[in-house]
Amino acid sequence: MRRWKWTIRLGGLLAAATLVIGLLHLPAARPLLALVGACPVGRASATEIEDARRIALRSLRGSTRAPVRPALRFELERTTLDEVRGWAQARAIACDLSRESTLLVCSRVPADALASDALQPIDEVAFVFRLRDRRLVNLTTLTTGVAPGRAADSFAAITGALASALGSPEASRVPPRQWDGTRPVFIRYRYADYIADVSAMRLPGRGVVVREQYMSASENGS
Amino acid sequence: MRTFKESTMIRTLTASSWKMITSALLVAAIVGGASRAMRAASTDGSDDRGNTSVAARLGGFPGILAFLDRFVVPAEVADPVVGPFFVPNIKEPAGDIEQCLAMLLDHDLGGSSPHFGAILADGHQCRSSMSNIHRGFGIPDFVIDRFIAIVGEQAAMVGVADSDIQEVAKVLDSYRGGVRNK
Repeated sequence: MRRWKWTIRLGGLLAAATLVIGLLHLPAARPLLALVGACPVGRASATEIEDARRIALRSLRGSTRAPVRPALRFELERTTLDEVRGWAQARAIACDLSRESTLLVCSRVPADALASDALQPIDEVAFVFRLRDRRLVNLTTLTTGVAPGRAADSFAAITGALASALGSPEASRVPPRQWDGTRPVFIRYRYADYIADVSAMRLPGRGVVVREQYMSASENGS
Repeated sequence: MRTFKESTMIRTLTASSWKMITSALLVAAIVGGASRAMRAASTDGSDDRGNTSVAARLGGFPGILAFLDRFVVPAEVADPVVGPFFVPNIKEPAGDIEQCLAMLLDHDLGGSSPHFGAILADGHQCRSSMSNIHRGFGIPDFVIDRFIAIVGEQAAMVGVADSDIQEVAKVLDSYRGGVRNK
């Protein structure tokens, strides 16, 4: 009889704990979850993310300094979060700020608003700001469902602009004529203080995905 | 030091399929560099057991794991949106997620790794349900697109054949439904 009581109590306790943990993961309870240390599964703090990026850059960066550091219409390690938010507000671009105000993701961004050479609107632009002063250190664009011909033209325009500023890339593979997207194409610049990547490839059921990344690779900027 | 840890971790895995992996390939992939191993495997199109699958051309489990560890994880971590999901992986070379993902890819691309259920050296068991693994993350399509695009981009950079990259993308995309918005 006593054993049954303990079994019921233990079961009740486990059920209550499960309920509490579940409730803590509801959007409305996220601040409360942060107070108790956040979910241990895949929830890194802005500091941890910055540290991880610093480690990653060790294996990504090159050895010489970049002559210039193009990042569309922005300036790495200079443009502030407030400036980017102001830019977005002035153009009625919807953005979502998260991760302790270090990540701003904007949707459906006209290419000309970014001073991008892309030939289509950008689905998603992600801005990363340095934790200590909220200055831009990483800008990434992603556009899906692009027709191969248009993606190839965009790729050529974007990489042409980069080549004008930086010269020949460290590595590249450009779309051949009549490119259908199945052969991934990319261009890669690696400097001690700057990294730029542009790539395009067809994803199953998603059309061609075009991705651009411009980031500071300096120790200060990561 | 990192290479030694990788090798040690891999050698202590308990999945039975490991016995089938040749040590030469392991050394080539981990010590010699993933890109070289993957290119070498792609050149003759098969492993030393005559396996002509995509997995074999990618160097089997060790080639795939080394590729993930040395090229994909740093590139994913550098991405603003996908990066945070890989924070633990950059700190722990050849960690649980990479090992389980490498086994999954190896299996689905025709290799000998178990699909799921392998118990790793640290006791972690690779799970079968993508939905359960990603529950609570609310991962949208764009994040999955970024992840697959980065894998493809890195594979292209190290010289993996276009048709094999498409196969890898197909395998990864086949799990989209289990990953998206859980």
